[in-house]
Amino acid sequence: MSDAPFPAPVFVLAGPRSYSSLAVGMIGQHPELFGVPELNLFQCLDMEEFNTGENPDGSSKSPFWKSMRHGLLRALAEVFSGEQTPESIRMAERWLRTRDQMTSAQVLQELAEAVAPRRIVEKSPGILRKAEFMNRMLAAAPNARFIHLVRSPIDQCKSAMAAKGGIGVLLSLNSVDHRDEEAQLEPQILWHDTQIQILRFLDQLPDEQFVTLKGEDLLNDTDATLKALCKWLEISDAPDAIEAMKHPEDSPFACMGPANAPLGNDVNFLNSPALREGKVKFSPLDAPLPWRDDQEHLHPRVTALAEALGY
Amino acid sequence: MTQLSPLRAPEHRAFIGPEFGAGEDGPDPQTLSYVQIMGNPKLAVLARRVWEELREQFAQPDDAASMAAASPEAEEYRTKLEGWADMLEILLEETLAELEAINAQRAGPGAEF
Repeated sequence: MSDAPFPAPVFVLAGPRSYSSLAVGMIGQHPELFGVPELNLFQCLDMEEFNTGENPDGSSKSPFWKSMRHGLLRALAEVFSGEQTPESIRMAERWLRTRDQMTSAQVLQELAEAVAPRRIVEKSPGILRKAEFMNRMLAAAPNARFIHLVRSPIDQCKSAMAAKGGIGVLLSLNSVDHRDEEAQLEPQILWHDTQIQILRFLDQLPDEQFVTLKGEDLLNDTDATLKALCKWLEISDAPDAIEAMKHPEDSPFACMGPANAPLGNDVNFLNSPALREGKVKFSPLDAPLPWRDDQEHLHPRVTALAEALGY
Repeated sequence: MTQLSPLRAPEHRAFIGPEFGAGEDGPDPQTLSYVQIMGNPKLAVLARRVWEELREQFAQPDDAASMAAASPEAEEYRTKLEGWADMLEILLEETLAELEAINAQRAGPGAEF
């Protein structure tokens, strides 16, 4: 590793079911960029934590930590051995073991230097759980650019409720309405509080360092939105670059990985990573909530926040 | 020409969970551990409903399964089956890991989900 600054990464900050896998897949296909799977680096201070899945107090990081390691393993295998096979994943495991005492920031730097001059594009929704994790990401890459990716609340909530396993995520993240005699899942809590967590983090950045991107714009007005993103990132917006970004399926990470690290991203994206033609509609903010049977509408604060974010 | 801008929504900085009865606001959005869920009778009832539904979800093949079965592209179908096998293996591993975590939580301080 050198002392010179490495090319500034691009981090996408988004809640679940906000087109973030597709967005990172697309942006990362730009010839000057390098999209990687979910690295989940910044939930860890050092690689010992990453390797063991244990916090310093001995508690478990997540019941799903084993599969949350797949993204970094796949990235290391691809970057340092040029392939993702059971053997190269085992190599990546050894690579990580020999860096037990390195910080997550040092590992990001080593990976970023290996793909330079291309810039890493990454998202790890797990880091949004704690401001500490997000601040660790910023400390590791103070010059990074951040894309706050949003999706309209009712549609994001519908998707979160319908996704396989989604209701388990909502429960574990306390997206629950506790007010009535019976508790019930209320996905707008997760939508709202994820945006708040991101906005609080962005408060410490100058305007030039982040941008807000509506997922629906990316899908409905793809060329113009990608061009605008390229301009903001100060990278080429030539037609061939834009065309490459419209093919996330060409990424080496846009498929299931080898048996010893098959994931690294949303399974639905891994199985169907291509950008699909067609317009995405979004529900008006005053529509009744389809996951409730009492004709309730969005909480006024959720509506107000959605309006402030361009809906 | 499309232009992207940074939106700060400065009037929105408080979490909304407390308005839905989730307790005190804090520096981060709240999460629930297994111990917290099972220690709260209302949440325990909800959790049982959620887990029943999850069990059903993961017992059903995806829609893609029936489409693939009807496809003449046998190789494509075989590849999909391999993918599902991988996923099932992961789910099994995760279930075992979760059981391990639950047992650890019962024995000591609660881990976060």
